[in-house]
Amino acid sequence: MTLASFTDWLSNTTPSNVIRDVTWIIPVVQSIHIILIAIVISSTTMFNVRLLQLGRNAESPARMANRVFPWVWWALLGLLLSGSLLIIGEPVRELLSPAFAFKIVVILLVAPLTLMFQATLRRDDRFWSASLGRRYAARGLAMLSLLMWLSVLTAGRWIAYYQAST
Amino acid sequence: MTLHIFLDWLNSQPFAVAIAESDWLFPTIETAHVFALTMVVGSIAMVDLRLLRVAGRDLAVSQLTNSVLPWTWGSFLLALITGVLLFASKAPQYVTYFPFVAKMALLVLAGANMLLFHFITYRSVRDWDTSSDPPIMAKIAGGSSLLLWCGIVVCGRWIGFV
Repeated sequence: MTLASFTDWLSNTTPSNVIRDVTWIIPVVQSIHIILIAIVISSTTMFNVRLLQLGRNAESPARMANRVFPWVWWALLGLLLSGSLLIIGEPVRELLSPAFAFKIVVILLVAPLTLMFQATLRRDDRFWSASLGRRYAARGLAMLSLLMWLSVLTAGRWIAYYQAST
Repeated sequence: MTLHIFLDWLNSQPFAVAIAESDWLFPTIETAHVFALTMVVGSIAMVDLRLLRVAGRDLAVSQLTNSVLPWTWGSFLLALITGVLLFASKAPQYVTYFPFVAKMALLVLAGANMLLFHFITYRSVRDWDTSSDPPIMAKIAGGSSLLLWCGIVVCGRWIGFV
């Protein structure tokens, strides 16, 4: 079964038709998706910028991590659920877009990176400040994480602009 | 000078024409706009949720607002600049869209709510900075802010589908 035949099959299922036919479902689910994106992007951006500033006096990365990360993981779960509804409703639009594929790949890479930051700081809140080497590593990885989350946001928006040619 | 004349003038400016005619300029500016709005909404939500005692209860309100507000202002500025650029590319049409007008109205209300909070309720913050129960006005400010900004997100998304 190819991806194209899968999307064809999915488009013809009842859930797919219901999501498309009931006018308010897609707008509401998309709006929820955007609000959850705001939670993830603002939390990870502030946290990553805080890591880039290691050494300056501000809320410690560990404390900020404790404050924002529970929200990030719940929001990502919500994004998975709302995203699944959008995929079921419009399989061709989502699954056959190159931007969608890119977005999923980057999420699969940046989520473990984000989890790693949270796990290290939970074990030892001075983990990344412990040495000069660690500080540089933290800055490099924070920069990478920032760029990756921004790519996810961009790719998500560009699904609308990169549709499979019909 | 009527609004109509101003909008036509804005729409015919070289930068506006460039954005309207380019394949990639509008999507790129729009992406920056989306990033800015996620930072605005996310940072405001952090303060609102604290005021409502839903999150971050171990942080003093003043400490949270001091660390978060620079993000809110900076991101809002970016959202405003990118928003004006996007608006200019199709100004005469946008003002006829219900979700666009609604979004502008909600922005004004959200701004008024923030000013009210900042200049009145927040003045007594030292009394309730670390308290387990912020005053009712603070909670109302937080709750209305969340509702208004959700409305702004909904309308903003809707503009693209008119």
